Amino acid sequence: MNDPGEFDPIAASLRRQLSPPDLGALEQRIAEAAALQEVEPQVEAQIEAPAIEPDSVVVELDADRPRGWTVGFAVAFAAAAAIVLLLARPWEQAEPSQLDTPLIAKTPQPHEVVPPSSADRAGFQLHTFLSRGETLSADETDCKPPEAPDPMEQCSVEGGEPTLITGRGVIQLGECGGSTGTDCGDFGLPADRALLVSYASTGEQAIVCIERAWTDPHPKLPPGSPYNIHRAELAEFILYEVTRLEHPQALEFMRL
Amino acid sequence: MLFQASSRVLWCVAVGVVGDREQGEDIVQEAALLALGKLETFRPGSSFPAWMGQYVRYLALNQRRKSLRRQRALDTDGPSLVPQAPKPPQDPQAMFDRNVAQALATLSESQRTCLLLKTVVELEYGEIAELLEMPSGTAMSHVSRARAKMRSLLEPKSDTSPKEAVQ
Repeated sequence: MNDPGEFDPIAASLRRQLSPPDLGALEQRIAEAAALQEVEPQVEAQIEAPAIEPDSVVVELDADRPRGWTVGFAVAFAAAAAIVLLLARPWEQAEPSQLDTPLIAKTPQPHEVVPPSSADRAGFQLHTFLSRGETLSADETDCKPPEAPDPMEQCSVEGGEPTLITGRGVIQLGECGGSTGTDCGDFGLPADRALLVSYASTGEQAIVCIERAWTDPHPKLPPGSPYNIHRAELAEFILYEVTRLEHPQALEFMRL
Repeated sequence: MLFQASSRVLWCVAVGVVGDREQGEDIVQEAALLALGKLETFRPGSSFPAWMGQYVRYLALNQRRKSLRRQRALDTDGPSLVPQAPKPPQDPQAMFDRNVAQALATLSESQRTCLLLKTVVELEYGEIAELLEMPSGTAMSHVSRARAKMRSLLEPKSDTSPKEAVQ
């Protein structure tokens, strides 16, 4: 009903193939798994220290009752019930007419994706990586872009991924994450995808991180760091360049 | 019933990112357990699907990254949205469905996720935007581009695979 007429056969096919499975079974599996996950830690918690969760107050009132699995199951049941109740919270209907509303106005960050300590840690990792002159060395299985690659032959395999147009003042030295088959975490970088670049004029190295809104670690550099973080948005992607320069040089060469 | 409404959305987010419906359930389940351990970070009054959607996306992105790594190592085809049939389907509808699934796999993660949320669970753009933490206009753009790409891949030669149509 939401699709233009021309799209209807495709939409119908998508609905036919991708109708969600029996979610009642999934609900049951989650409740069971939650119970299993909760039983052992809660039993140990009964011995070591009082539980903090409100659910455990009910258990403590009956502290004379036999401990062990009975108590554990009671706590597990309460925890499972809590998550089911939370899951049952109604979806908040948004105003369909509120199109193009800025993200900040629409979602006033009711819940932080990354706690501040994570941002500090991410910034420290970026600082450390650059100050140590680390490289994103690639092994045989990694994509190794040449010094002046054809933008069409970059590592990214999916359309619409940000790509560095190299050879115009900025050279790409390496890449991790994304479709490269490597994990930036293996290089000590807190990024979903990152490019190690070098400025042709000075040879200075910098990092360009490519994130989506929900993976952005919002890095904060440690006090006294000689580096700066310059942020930019490219379509749905959030890019930031970590560099000694006061102004970004690589970001302007990022294209979809 | 309300739980199912949320789960359908979360499942679609997972499938949209990983491109594999079988993994969608596992990711939602894992996300639910992960969220259970972090209930204290949920603020009452905020959107529960949006809060839990973060965990679903994180896990789905990790899963996709692992799949891509494995795919590169094995040099095989990427994840399929439909089970691999031993023989090409002969039924026209089945052939069309197969082509649609292949075309869907060519979309970017964001385009695919937005398209599924719009088409399969029929969310409004505002709901998609809140769930994926992006402006409504961006969600609308993703859906529009996804539809355009799907049409371009499927319409000119609906009897051939999208890859052939592209080439």
